[in-house]
Amino acid sequence: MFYYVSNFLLVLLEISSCTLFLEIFLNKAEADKPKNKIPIIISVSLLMYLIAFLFANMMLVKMILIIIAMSLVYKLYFKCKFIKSVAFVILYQSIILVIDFLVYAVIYSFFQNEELIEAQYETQSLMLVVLGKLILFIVVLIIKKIFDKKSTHLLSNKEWLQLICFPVFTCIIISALIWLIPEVESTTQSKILFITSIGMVSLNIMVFYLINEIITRENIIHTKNLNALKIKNELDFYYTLSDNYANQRKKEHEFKNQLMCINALINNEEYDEAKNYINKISKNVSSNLHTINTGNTVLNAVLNTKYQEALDKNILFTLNISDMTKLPLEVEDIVVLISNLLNNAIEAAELCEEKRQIQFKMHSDNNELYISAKNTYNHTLIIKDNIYESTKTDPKERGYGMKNIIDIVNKYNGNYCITPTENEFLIMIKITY
Amino acid sequence: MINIIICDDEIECINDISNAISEYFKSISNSYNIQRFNSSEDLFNANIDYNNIDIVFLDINMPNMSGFEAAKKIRDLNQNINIAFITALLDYTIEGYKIRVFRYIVKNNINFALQIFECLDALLKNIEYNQATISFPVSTGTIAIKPENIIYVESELHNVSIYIKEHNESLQCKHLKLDEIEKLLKRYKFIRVHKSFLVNPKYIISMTNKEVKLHRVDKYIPVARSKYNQAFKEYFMYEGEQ
Repeated sequence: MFYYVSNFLLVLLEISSCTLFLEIFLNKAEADKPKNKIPIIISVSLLMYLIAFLFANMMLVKMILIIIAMSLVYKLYFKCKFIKSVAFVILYQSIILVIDFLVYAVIYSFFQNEELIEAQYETQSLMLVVLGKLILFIVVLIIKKIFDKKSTHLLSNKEWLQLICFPVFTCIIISALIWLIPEVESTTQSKILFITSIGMVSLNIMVFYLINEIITRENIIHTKNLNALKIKNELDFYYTLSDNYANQRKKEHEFKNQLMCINALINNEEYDEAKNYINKISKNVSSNLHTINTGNTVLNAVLNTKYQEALDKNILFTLNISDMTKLPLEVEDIVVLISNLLNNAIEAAELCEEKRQIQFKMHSDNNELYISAKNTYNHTLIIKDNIYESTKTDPKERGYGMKNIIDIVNKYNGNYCITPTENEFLIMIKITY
Repeated sequence: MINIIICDDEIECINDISNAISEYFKSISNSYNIQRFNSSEDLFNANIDYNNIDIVFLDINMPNMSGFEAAKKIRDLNQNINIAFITALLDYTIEGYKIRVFRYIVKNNINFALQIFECLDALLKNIEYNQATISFPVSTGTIAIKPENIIYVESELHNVSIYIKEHNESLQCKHLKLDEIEKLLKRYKFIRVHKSFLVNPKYIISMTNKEVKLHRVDKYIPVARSKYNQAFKEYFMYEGEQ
């Protein structure tokens, strides 16, 4: 009884690692939809166990049946081509064979007497098999780290090393337990040791799945935050537009009144009064009428707002923009990209005591669009993971501006390059269309 | 000697500008010269040779011929001269870009002087870049070459060959190593694509991770794998700044 249950548990461990392994190569679904793995792990394990049980003595038939059965099930689960499924299942089985071989080689070199193995050290060899399954799991984790491009950004290298300590340490513990078995006095005690080992390995696998799910959820939250920021940018933009419109109507109204006034004065032949009045109102021409016209309405709105903001903060803003009527970016992207570029530039330049300058250039010709923002800065730049980290104090807003910029550049398959010199920060973007 | 023209119908404004200019030049070694005009008619009646002028400050809002019209006329006469608009309200337009206005300087702004300083900074940088010459020791003595005329520099064994625009033969320079030449030409944005090749990005037609194709040069310049990333980055920045 114990024998059957323990073997089934071993098969379970093997199939968990197998699912993880196949996910690396066969999973085409987006990371947002985590599939429920437990039913498939249990059902495949039952299937394998049955096959192994029924065909226990016919090695070749058993092998082939297992490969075909696993490939079929996984083909349906991952919705991929049968051939691909077969190829990776065979690959996995070969990895298992190699590890099993190593485990048995260790057993034989340890005990050097085959009969002894089956009699007294049955539990010990079982535990070596458990150790083998754990080593298999570690190997799959390493393969995942190297080959799975989708999830390599989830865990930094340092965190991954910390995670892998857990199974490695468990390996050491199990090896120590194996060493202990000759000291053990009854079969019950050795069975308890065996159950402990299997328990530990299962724990390892479960912890890993748990961490994976937590990270995926964090990723989703992160994407949501990025989107929220984008929406906020767009709302700001629309508010500016409607503010500008309201201002415009107000000024028109004022202007009409002033004209009526001048008309009245002239009709009354109060020419001197009229002249004085006109002089007076000319002086009040608002400085809010700076206009930047690049041919693109959206871009104009963004630039006008940012120009005014820079002016209010005493930052020298130089522009050099070619005809942008045919700008190949979508409206939201223009708003987010340019707002973020200029927000970053303004925030940095603001902190300088002398020499607050921003130079913004946009140039497009020959199907190439160049955007560059250069600004003076005074603070120390923090670089983390190749991305310039935010200096914002509010943790909710940190870093999303730069990430938004990079996301948009990548969306259009563009290139960007950031070069800070001693006192100037320059970011250059090129998009081919 | 920097030659400057100011054209504005308000005398007060002309004074503000020339005060800012003289303030700027106090701290550097270049000398300068300002010619003042009160209207575009006066400016064109004076028949200036714009080849000798470095920058023209034009007021946009002038009676009769506006600064914009004047700028178009000047641009027709000279393709290279720098034109800066002085204006009460920024009115940046595509037409301005077409005649390649150098700067827009906004009046009635507490940063007025700073804008002029920044404009002159950029102007001097341009002039230096275009007119600088570097002396290289060759077999017949030393020769001064403008970096913008050097297409590329190649080093073979103990010789360094400098290939110059519109010269069929390269100049042989025996006493300098390529590393030293690279240091001299670094500020002119030359790119070291290979242990033996230093290239002027102005003449690059295309760059791949294997080779660079240059204007007017038949052979392809090889790109070293270890230098490709840095070289491409520098070329990318150069292209963007044009």
